[in-house]
Amino acid sequence: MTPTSPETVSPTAPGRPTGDVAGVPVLAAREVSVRFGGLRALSDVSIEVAPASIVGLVGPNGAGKTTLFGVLSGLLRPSSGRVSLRGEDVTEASPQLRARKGLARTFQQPELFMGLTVREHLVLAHRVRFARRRLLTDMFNPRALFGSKASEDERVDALLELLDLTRVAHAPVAALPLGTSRLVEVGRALAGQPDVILLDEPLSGLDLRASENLTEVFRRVVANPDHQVSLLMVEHDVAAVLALSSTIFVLDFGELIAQGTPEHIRNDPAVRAAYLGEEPPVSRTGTDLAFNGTDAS
Amino acid sequence: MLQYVIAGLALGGIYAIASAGLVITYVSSGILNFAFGALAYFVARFYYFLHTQHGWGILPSAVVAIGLCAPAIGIVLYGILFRFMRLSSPLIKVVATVGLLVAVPSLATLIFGNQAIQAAPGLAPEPVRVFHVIGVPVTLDQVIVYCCVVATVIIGAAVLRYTDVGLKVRAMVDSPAMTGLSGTNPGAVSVGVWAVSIFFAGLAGVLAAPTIGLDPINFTILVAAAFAAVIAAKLRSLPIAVSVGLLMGIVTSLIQRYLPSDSNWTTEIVDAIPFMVIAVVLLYNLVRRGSFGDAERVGGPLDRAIVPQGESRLAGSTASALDAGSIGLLGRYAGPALLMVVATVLPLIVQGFWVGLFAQAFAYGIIFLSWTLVVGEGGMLWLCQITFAGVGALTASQLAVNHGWPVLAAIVVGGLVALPMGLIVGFLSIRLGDLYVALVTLTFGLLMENLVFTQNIFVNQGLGVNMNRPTFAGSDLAFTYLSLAAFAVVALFIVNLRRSTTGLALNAVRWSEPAAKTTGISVVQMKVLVAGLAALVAGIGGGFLAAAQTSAQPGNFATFAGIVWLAVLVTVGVRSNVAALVAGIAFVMMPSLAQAYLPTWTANIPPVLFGLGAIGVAKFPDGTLAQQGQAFRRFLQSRIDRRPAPLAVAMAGDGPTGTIPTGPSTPPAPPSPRVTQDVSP
Amino acid sequence: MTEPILEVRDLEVRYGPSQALFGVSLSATPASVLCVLGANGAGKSTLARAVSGLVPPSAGTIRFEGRDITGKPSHRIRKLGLTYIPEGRGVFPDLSVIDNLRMAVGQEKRGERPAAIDRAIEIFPVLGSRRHQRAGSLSGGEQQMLALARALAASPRLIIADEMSLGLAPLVTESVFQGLDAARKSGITVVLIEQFVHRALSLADACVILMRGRVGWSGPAAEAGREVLERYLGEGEHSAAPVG
Repeated sequence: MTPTSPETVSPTAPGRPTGDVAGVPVLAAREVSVRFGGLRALSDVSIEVAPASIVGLVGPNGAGKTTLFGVLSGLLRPSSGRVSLRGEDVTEASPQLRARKGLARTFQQPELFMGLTVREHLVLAHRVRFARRRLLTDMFNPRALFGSKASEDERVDALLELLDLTRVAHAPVAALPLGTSRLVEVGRALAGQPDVILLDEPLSGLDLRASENLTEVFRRVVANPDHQVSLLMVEHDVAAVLALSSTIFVLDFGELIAQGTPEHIRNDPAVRAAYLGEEPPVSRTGTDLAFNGTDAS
Repeated sequence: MLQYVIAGLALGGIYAIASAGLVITYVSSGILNFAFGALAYFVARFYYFLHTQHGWGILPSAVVAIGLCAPAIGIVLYGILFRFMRLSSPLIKVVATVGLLVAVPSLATLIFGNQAIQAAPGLAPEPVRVFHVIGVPVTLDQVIVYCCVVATVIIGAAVLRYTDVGLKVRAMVDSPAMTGLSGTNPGAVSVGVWAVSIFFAGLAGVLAAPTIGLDPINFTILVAAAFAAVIAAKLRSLPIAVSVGLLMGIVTSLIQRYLPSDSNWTTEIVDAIPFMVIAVVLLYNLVRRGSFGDAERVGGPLDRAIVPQGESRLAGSTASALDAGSIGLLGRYAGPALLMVVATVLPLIVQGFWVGLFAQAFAYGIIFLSWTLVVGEGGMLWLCQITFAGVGALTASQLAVNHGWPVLAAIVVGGLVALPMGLIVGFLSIRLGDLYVALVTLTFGLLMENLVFTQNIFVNQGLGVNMNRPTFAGSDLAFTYLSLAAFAVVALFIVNLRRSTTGLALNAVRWSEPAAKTTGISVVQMKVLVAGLAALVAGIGGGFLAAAQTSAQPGNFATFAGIVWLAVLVTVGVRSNVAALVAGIAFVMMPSLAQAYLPTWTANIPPVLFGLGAIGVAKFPDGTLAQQGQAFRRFLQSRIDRRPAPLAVAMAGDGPTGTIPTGPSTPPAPPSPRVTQDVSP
Repeated sequence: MTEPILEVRDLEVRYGPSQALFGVSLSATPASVLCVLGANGAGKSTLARAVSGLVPPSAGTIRFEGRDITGKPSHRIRKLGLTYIPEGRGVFPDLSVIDNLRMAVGQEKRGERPAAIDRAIEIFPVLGSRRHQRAGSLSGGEQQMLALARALAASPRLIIADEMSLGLAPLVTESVFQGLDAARKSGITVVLIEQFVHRALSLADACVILMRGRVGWSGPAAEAGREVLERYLGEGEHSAAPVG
């Protein structure tokens, strides 16, 4: 991949290989296991995220999805297994180092910085990636307030526009409803121009309109020709995942029980069993269904 | 040898009882009680009041003081304070108990009278009988300590293990929410635990009084030593806390055997032992596990699930973040500007002695700004800013007086000497979590106070070292304005810092460490940075304070005096520069005004008020006065400015992404199928 | 029609600034199984927590056996006979199995407690062999059995079972459901909260579907399958029955 945005070629952008390595996934986990005490939360789970794709990660509650996200983002150390970013092993790397190498994430309960405005979230994330020194030097610079580069403003404003956040750009985030908070998290993640974003249940708690809005944003983001980014999404709304993703991984009891295209997953008997616990006793309509609409029709 | 062990067991027994009292309230309500020593003092003072001053017998005095008064204090404190703090952030919990620590000793003086007490009797009748056990003399006081420890351990273990009450306490430690769901009132269990905890405080206090005397500072230092046992127990394990407490007593005593008994240095080392234990335990855990993290968790997953969002934290609740956004430019700057004008004019109006006080007030203001940085921006509670101020003052006086440096350069270098200390202490403690930062900084302060500030080069036979003022600002009035200018420079630096990228990153770290990390911000780096800056500011403030007082006295920089300072600042507001200035003026002027115009006994009222003010953070996390100020500014804003505030715009502009469909008549349609249809090939 | 044992009217719950339940109403008839379905985040657990007194409702009323229990603390509600088995594992992980049961029967008369504990162990004999083991070290299924045994030992009138099948193997789930079925047969009302439909519906008499904090549908369990299809799988969504 060749970065096309002006900042990415600047020497301050660290850790981004300039040449494209064909076939190398942007993010991969190899045989990751996690134990909590005696409990095995993940057993030898391997997943891959291809460049510029949307990948779904589904499974019943307690299957280990959030644990895997913890391992991928570096907030959790795996008991065994490796994690790599663009082919580079980052298993031992801290979350902040992974972020600097092009990994971003959102949280199930949005984790926003309550004292900042929407725009400041994006500005901060952008500077962390492309003007890191400013974190330490800006406090000594009395003109820090006005010192944003034109390219930074352009990029941030474009993102605000993309996410339809322009109107609330200067509002404190504490006042925002859940749907907007999720958008701010996505914006913060995108502002660092990552290669891959982990989305932790981005649609939960949203009403129809907000959730359609957000899925539309995801499509736009991935289709953006200026910047290639992949999304790895944990989501309970299986139908939404099936609709959005090109590849899907299914976890159950900490094990990977299926992977493949939406069609493949839809018809996989193991997936149905995992979602239903067992064969349905009364198949009233001839269709098995889990609540959230794992529609098997 | 045996003699030392026996003597050590008495001290260790007191540590053990105190640490047991500390652990039980921590595990059951998540509150590490920094006021434990002050409460121990209160009960011991009450016992002395009954027994010595009013001639009550030992037994009735002990029953009333330890058996009735102490548990009653526990019950009242739970009922009026701790009950409401179960869901508060760790920092707020610490500050509230710190407030108690400040208020309680002065309250005791107000109630029991202000008289010097030479020696306090224990639970043994005077004169204390001495037994000889295999040739070793043992006092009846010591025997009573042993009996109390043995009784505490046996009764405590039996109650916890075999009775229904003990079962309920253990269940409560596991999960208060589950306890409630099992039909047991968690509040009732908590009341009991607090009663028992303060009973232990009273017992430890009365037992310790004959050895350490009736001085509140000594009690708090004793309990700070017991913190070592509590930390070794990772704040949770009762058996470990009790054993380490006993062991520490023995080690302390044994070490005295091998050190020369006539050296000052020996006393310093002995006093410092518990704090060295803390340092060793923390370093060991830091190296071995990298963090203590999970030790701060209280309750189970269910308890965390039912915590309301939008919690309030020290220096920044969700509500105050919203407020800040809704205050316009005028509201934001009118107050500070007005205050600076008042501060500039006041020294011109007052006479002589009072002018000098203003110089001190502004110097205190600078020191308080270091908390504005580390608490307000860094979100950490540091209890040793006074130590950094002391380092600054002592260094500056040495350089300026003994080495003839220019005064301002000496003051700045004093700050630069404090800076690396802040960096190192920060680096060691920050990864361990909020509570440990408070504990480690307290320990650091006490260690410096015991080992460094006691050196004769600083103490100078109790006279302290003189401190010059710059030649161009020799008069009180000139130096007052120099201090005010220095304050203004530091305050402007903080204003700039807040709005710079650094400030944005600090804000991020304060509100969400996981999100800050995954955005690429190094949490430890940012926090260490702000801790170092704060140490620098405190050091410079200390230099100015010494120059204002024209001498640097190590005794003025005792760690617990610094906790009073913190209480003052927290009362006024820990987020704002103006609050630091107001706190400095209030701290210096209130006692002097009281001294000049009010009866003597009122001298004890300000500490009580400041203590209560600090306790008030439970309700007003931004500081009691700051909260009032905000309310006033909102009022002002609403009168002057009728434009919609940004907040209102945010709410109004929420249309396209709103989450909540209104009206039951339009039930939300299902999201899934439509999306499916859109994309299916 | 019999008087409902549990009646919730217009319940609203807020967690700080965000609202989790909007005007939820439902009722449960004695000795029946009411099944509450809904996606993750629909408010099922919040509903259970509000009914059991863990979180205070901001509006609405909750009546249990004719008595208003709105805003009462959880220990009071438990003493009235309403037992909540929370999501996850409804046990004290650091207490032994026997201590867990002792906590559960705490409000029985002292002399009757051993018998109550014995009865609970009879339902799930595997617990008897693990009396002194830490509950946290039991397997997931055993923990759920203990949670259910704890609930049944306290002679409840109504049990709210929150996602008990979560993370359990099918066979274990089956024995947990059998335990709930037996409870219903002995006259206990069961409110069953589930994320997945079929197993829950096969046991239930009535069904409530929550969507984003509101009642999306309620009615007899036998009709729920069709309704769910109509409403949630897009077959004629506008012809669906009005919210009730």
